[in-house]
Amino acid sequence: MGPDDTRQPVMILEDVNVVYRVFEDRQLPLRERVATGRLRRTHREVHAVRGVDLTLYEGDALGIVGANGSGKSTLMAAMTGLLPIERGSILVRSRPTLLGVGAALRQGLSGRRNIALGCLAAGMSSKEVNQRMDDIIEFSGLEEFIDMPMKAYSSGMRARLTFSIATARTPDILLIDEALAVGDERFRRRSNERVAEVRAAAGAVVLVSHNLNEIRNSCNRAIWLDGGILRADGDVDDVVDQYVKDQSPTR
Amino acid sequence: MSQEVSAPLVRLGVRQPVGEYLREIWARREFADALARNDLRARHMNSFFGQLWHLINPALNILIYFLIFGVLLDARRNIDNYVSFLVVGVMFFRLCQNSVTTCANSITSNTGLIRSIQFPRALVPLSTIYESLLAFLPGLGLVMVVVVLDGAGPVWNWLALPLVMVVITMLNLGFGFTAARIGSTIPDLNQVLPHAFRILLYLSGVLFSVQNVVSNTTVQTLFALNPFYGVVAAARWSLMAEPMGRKAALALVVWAIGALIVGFHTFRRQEHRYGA
Repeated sequence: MGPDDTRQPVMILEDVNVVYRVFEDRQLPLRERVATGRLRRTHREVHAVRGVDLTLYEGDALGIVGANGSGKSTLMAAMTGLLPIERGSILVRSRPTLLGVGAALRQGLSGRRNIALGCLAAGMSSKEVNQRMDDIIEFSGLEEFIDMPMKAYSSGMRARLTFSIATARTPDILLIDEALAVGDERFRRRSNERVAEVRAAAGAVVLVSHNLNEIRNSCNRAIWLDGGILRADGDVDDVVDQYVKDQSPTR
Repeated sequence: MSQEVSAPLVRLGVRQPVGEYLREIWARREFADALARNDLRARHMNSFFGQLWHLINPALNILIYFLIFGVLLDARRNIDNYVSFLVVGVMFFRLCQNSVTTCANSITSNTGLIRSIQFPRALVPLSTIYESLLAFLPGLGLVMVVVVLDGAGPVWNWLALPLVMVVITMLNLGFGFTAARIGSTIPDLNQVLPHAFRILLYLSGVLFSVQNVVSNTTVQTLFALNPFYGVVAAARWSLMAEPMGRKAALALVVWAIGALIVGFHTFRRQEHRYGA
């Protein structure tokens, strides 16, 4: 892939498989349960990610495209170490920071307290938190609401706050799971700045989004995940074109 | 372009060595403190009496137990300073009960935080136990006042109170880790624990003196093996100079150390699945 060879790898995925065990919601009547010997609820196994091989380099902005249910978010969660891997391995230079939809903090607390909690949890000292607090609030654009409880925030506000906290210290590896979709224009601009900062600092960014324009604009590389399988990996425009062609209704 | 040696890649999902894990916990001690204090504040945020409930609650508990067991049922025969006896027993038993029970759903109630940020999950039960201790302190003050008013103190044993608290906290932390691990996958634990503690209440000599009621030495030894009996006895020894059997003391220490080691290890085994 040309000049990529001189860059250091930041994350290596080898034959990564993720399996979900999902319990059914039905309750068989007692008679049936005793008759068939199945006393507990049945569960199914969903093989969400099947044998993905991937190497992420410094400065990469990787987009992940695929239909709903193709395993994109599962793969992201596995990359953070949040989901156990059934088979294969993931090697990372540092623990990735995941920005996800619905990754809420504590609803009853104010935005300010959540910033403090989030930063402390990420390993900052309280001195550092105090120093950065104003910057983080300013980046989120939530100055007016920062002392109100988070349950009063809209989903967009929550996403902005979470993003601000997660990028308070420039992460080495940043994973963004459709979280930018809820931001307004100003927020979108500022998050792209942060993404650029991460790449400039020789980190890498992975972005999952259904907004293909966003992928084309923000990423240099993309992969296409289909039913848990990696179907394409390469230049962002090539891969997105392939994906779009596959999804078009003329098939 | 010069080739810089990049930091080595580490395998994700492999358990960290204990030393590193503990160091990361220590590095985040301010987080545990902030989490505990925020939870405490949140507890009574919307109530009229607010933080005063941390004092009113223990006071009410003490009053009710005294009226029923001390006055109505007259369980106080042969026990000097029954009021102190009861108050100390109830308060310390409740500390254990609250600590473990809150730990049981500590993981599920912090799912949002766990899913957003990578941090050693042991911080969650740790801050829960710390929070229980902070909430206990006003009650402890009240207990010491009651002991003095009842004429059972102050005694030199009071100086040993910090050490006794350390041992009790180790026990609660150990059981807390276990409860957090089990409670994160089996919500039924929340239903079982109140019953378990009710039984333990009667088996820990909180409301009556075991020496007075039980004459069989084998049964007495069985009581001594119950760690919560040990907690209550140690508390009474420390605050009222009530004699504590050596067997119970030894059993308590062994339980405390054992529960902490086993609990921590059990908790860590599930580290990567919490919040999933």
